[in-house]
Amino acid sequence: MITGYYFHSLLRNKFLWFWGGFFSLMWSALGAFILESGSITPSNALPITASWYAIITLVSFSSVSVTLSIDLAWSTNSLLFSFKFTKLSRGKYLVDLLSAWVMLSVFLISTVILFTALMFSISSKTYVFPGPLSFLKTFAVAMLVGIFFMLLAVMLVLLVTDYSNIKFVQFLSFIPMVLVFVLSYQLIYGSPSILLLYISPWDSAPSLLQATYLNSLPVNTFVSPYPKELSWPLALAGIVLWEVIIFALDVYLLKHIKPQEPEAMRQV
Amino acid sequence: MDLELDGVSLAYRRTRKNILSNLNLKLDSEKIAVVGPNGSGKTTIIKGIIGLTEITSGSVRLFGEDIRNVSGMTGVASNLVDTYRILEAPARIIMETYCSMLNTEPEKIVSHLKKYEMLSILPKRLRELSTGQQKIFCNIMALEFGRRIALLDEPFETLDMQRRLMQLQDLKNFKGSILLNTHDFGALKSLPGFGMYIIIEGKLYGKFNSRDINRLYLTKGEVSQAISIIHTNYGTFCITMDEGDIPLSISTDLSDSIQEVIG
Repeated sequence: MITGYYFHSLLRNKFLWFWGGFFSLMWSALGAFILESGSITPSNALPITASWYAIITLVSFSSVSVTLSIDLAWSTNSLLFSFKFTKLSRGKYLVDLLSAWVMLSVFLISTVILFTALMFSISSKTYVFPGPLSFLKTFAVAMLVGIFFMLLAVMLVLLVTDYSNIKFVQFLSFIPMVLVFVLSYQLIYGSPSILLLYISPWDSAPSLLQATYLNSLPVNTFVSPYPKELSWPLALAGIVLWEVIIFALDVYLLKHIKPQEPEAMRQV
Repeated sequence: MDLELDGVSLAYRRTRKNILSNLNLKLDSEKIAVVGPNGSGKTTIIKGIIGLTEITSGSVRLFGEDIRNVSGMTGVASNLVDTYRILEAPARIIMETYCSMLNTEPEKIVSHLKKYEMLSILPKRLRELSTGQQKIFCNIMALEFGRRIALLDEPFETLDMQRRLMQLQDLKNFKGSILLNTHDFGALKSLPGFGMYIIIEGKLYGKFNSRDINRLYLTKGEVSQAISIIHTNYGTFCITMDEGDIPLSISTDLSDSIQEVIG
């Protein structure tokens, strides 16, 4: 019930269509026609497209997930009430939210893949759409990455509502996005250590997204001619492990959820 | 015992400043009304009972279980609108969501809405409803889901006369326990058999019986025949029986009556 309605409400969310649709389109166009216009050639068009796709996916997920999770802050009274006086459990609620998010991710990921491939195909005059197998693989990895960002966003919102001032909730949108710019961009400008890629989803996620788009092994850099290869099962396991840990933290934070005064929420 | 408040002090979670102190109240298969002026702490009691306000001392027990440990208990519900905002959704979705979380069917709620001529609210979001519509919707949800205990905050507020009478009838017909609070003394006269507490500045006085309303008086100062002496920041008065300054039976709003008796 919550999944279905939440999914519908997400589809009607204008922020979602801005960050997930327009924002992706803008970055794809910017990358294809301005930032990479001098360097893109038919021979390097595919890896460049894959790199842009990886980064745009992360930026979109990081901003959209927090924007949507902020709704949680409005529901603190009813959540606390529901956990005590209905059959809704904290785990079930989180799974419902994630299910809606996964359904929504189908639209988001498709948008990013198609826009990016289309823009770079036009720009490079080369066909850079992923093949069917690559499409499925990169779609699955993007789902996994999306779940990570959603769980993280829920955690951030709950941390603020439980332990801080609700007025800070609007600033949360910037945290995952800033981390994308700080950590994920390391793959564009350098070669971070393999260990960092295994322990940081911000680093392993773009590597895995790019690799699955290209149907190749994940590497620790998008630019160096001497990349180090990653074990993709280990890189995936790193992300899954983080998801398990953050899911447990989310359940804990939901257990200690503090109801917000409606008056304080109206000031946000 | 359905509900037991034992020496309870309640505080806002943020400031941790006590709002109500040392409350004692028991509810055992009965209907109770807490009557008091605006701002006396009536809503806070209900919030405390369902765990929305922090308990700084004492205990709130629902069917023997400390509210702090309650999880998945059914048959207890309130009419506080904020407890029904799990989704920013139309009333129909809210209704169906809570029914699915409580394994009940929405037909009864729909038939009540029909009785109140309020089916038109179902496609609207809660925030789009008028205060009166919100109140009736949440009253109906509370009486349907709170089959063991319904906690009703100002259930008659902003209702028109016809719906107010229907609401009074629903409360009379309700089979479970009720704890309702109101500043509307007039409504209570129509609910004979309700236990009654008066709350002034966060302290409970009683318990009286709503059947005795016609015999209860507010009297200025302290008198020997007082059955309750109430000390407030704005003066002392007492509740007396069969004689006194102002009969509660003519009171519609307790604030006005207190103001009148204290002068």
